Amino acid sequence: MILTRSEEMLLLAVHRLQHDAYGVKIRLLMKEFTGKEMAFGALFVQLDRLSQKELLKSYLSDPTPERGGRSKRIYQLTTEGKQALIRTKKVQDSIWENVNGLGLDKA
Amino acid sequence: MKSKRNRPPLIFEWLVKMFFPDRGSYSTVGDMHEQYSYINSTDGLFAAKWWYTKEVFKSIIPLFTHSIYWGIEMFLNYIKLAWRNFTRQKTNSFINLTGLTLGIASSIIILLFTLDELSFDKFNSKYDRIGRIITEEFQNNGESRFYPLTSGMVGKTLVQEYPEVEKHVNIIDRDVFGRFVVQRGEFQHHEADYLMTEPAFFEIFDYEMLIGNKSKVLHEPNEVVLTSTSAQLFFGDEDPIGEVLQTNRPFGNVKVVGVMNDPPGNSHLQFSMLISMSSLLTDNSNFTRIVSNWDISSMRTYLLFNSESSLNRFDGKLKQFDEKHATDVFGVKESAHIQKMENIHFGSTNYEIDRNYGARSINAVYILGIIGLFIVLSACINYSNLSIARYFNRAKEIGVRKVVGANKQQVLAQIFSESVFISVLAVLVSVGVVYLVLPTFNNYLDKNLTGISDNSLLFFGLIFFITLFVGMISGSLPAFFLSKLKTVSLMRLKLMPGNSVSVIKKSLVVLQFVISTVMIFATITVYNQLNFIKNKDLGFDQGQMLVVDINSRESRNNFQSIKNEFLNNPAVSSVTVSSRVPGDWKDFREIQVANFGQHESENIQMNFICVDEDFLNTFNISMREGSYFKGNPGLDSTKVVVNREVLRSLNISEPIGKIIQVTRRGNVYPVEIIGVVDDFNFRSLHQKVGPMVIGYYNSPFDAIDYYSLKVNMAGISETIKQLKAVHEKFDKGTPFEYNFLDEKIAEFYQRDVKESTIINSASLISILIACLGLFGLASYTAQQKVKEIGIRKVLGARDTEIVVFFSKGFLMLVAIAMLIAIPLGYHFMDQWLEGFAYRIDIGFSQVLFSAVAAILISVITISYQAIKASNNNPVDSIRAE
Repeated sequence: MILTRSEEMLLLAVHRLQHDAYGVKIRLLMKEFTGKEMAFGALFVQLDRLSQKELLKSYLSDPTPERGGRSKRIYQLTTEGKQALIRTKKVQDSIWENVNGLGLDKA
Repeated sequence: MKSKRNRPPLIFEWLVKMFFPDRGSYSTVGDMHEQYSYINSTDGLFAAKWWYTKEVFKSIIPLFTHSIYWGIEMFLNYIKLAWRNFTRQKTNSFINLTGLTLGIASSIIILLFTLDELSFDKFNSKYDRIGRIITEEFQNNGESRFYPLTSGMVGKTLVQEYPEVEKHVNIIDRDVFGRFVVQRGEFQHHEADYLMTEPAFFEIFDYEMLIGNKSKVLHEPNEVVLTSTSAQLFFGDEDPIGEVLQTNRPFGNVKVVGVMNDPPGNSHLQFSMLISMSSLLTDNSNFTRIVSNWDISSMRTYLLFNSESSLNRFDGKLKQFDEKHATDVFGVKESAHIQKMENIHFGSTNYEIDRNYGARSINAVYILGIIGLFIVLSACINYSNLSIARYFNRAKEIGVRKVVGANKQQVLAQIFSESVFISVLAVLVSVGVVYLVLPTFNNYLDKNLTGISDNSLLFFGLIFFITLFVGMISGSLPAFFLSKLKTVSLMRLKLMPGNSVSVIKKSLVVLQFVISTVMIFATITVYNQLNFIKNKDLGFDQGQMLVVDINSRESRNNFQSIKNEFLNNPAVSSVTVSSRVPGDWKDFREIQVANFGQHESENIQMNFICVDEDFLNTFNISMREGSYFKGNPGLDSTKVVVNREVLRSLNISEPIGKIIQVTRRGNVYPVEIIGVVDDFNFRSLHQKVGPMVIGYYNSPFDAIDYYSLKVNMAGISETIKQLKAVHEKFDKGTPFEYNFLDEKIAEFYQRDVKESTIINSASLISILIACLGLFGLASYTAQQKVKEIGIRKVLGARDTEIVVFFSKGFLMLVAIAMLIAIPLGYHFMDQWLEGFAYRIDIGFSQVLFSAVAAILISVITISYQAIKASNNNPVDSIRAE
């Protein structure tokens, strides 16, 4: 299955952050990617859908005081998640192969 | 560390917990908390709270859509079923939709009204840094009076002495110079809504200029900036810039230097033109002396501060300022205060001489809000009650869903999507209804409410919120009961609602009727009180009285001749001149009065009018003892007639011949009491009759300002034409201006009349909603009891017995509601009546009347179903089993 652009970005963000991949950090990284701030609600919805599709798994860390005594939910890619990313990358590469006349070089 | 300050707003945290599906672990709540703490440490607590609030609202929408994500298909199925049920159950749907529409439409209007009220003066970009000076005047009786006027010295001295005060602007309105006539060519206009001010006006406030440069106008004397309405009035479509308007008051001609937009309707300052104050400040003018006197309060002074916090702290510093600049009066008998602009609209109810457009007490907004909430709740109750009944008939459908694998959440989702579905429908219909009735409402309340304005985003947000709120509240009760039921019991052939369900349903009906009965009670009380005011004997004649203003020296000096010529008109039976009339719409002159020879500190403030010898018989005021003015200017000028309240406040037992002293502007005048009149209500009935001293027209305290004519109302328009001709003969400069006294007096109660209309319509709506609910429940009960009634009939019950049997239960509920509602209504309305000095007492008859009205209304509502049930042929109803 091919990922949508935002799914792709989210999975990559989770992958990059490794053991630090929880809501606040993911949201920050997404802001770096896109320049836009996501609401926590929207972020949660996306992560939850990816978990339901079993592209992500998650576990709870120990509670920390600056979080009002709440745990972090730390996300990780599943094998399916990794495969989906690789597949998406391949498809993208093949789409972009030999594209001329867009002015890609100048940009 | 767990400190309170570091917590996000609790209610929103709760909302997040409600909506995020990973409720148990709260990791997302934690994420938001972490970000909140971060913002708190960088941008401060307020920014953090604001961010949190925004974030919650931004998050709710995706989370809500997510919660139905697991199957758009399923969701569409729910909507489909909701629609089928909606179209099948016509009565139910009609009741629900009508009730919710009425409730939502009223709350939308109330919401618009409230938003408008809360937006007052906020168009000013420096809103939170502006304050105005309030003077507190200490009176001899230990009480204080407050008014927003101060000396011309205060503003500029404050700017000089306190660095945090950046700018000041002084404003003078008609309270100082009165109205004047503005003339262009032949066209004359009485101008009452002008302000005289300084260039800083445009630097402090954000009024929009259409033509002309804000920073260049009002510097020179005799300049005027017109609002677009008055530019239209004087110049039509011509270009007014550079044109000259003539005035008959101190500054002569004024040149138009700019045109500005009309002040917005939510501005406490309303005006038609701005005249440069420098017009008055010529080197030696009397006014220059007045302005530089610390003891004369004639200016409305607004200050601009460098920050909100320095404005907040400033009131404390004014004490020092008072002491530093103390004179005999300033700082001793008066003290200065500062009022923040945000408090001007709601916080000025105690201020006198306050030209504060639209000012009202915040309580009015609260009461309206509560009424709106109750109406919506009542509509939600209808939905809950009817849909519980309906769901028990549909139990099998839910049972089947559960059997094929629906979990509890999905059952809840179905119930809520149905209730939200109908609430969306109702919101759509009510938005239509609101747009239909809004013009009438605006017209009536003198507002300009539209949904689409600066606030439209907030408004649509709130509409969305209402939709969800109504849907959730309505759905919560059926959801609560149905989700508790076991699948097996859902699948049973017929499901009877349990005991707890019917208790809750019944208490909701009681609640509805409590609300309606309180509203009926309020309606009756308000009606009675307004009637009482209308018919109360004020102590003088208000009917058939024509009051003509004296606006010029010619009219005042020739009053004897004008009076005689007025009297020559056959329709006029009597004429008098006076400085004020009973029931006057302008402020009465205030004088300081004490017994003769007493110290100034014994002075008591009293009202004063001066009159001629025909005043008493024209107004038909009755004399208590002594004599009245004889019409001899030489003798009468040192004599006064007083009302009984004067005797009470000065402790005089034998008034006739008694000498009292009047202090005005530092001079003491001894005057002799020659007569006592009955107390008459010279002000509105909101106020008690105060002490009133009546002097002769040539007394030094005031000058005549009105002709009052007792006229025959037949052919009144012809009479007015003739009177106008008389007036023009003597006074060519000013237009003939007249009022009917009874119409002016009615204006005192306009606000009460408007309040009563709002209460009436609110109570009508709440009664309607409650009746709809009762009707729905009755039809449901009729359905349930069809067999029981059939059997009763077979066994020989008569139709009347059936009707009684059927209605008994409902009437019981209404009776319980009555017991709760009447003390409540009594309490609220007693408080409302406190606002009147002359008020009715709430009597047994009112209690009885509202009880009978509520019961009658419910009997009529039920009777349709009751009679229908009793007319049923038992053969039809018992045949099938």
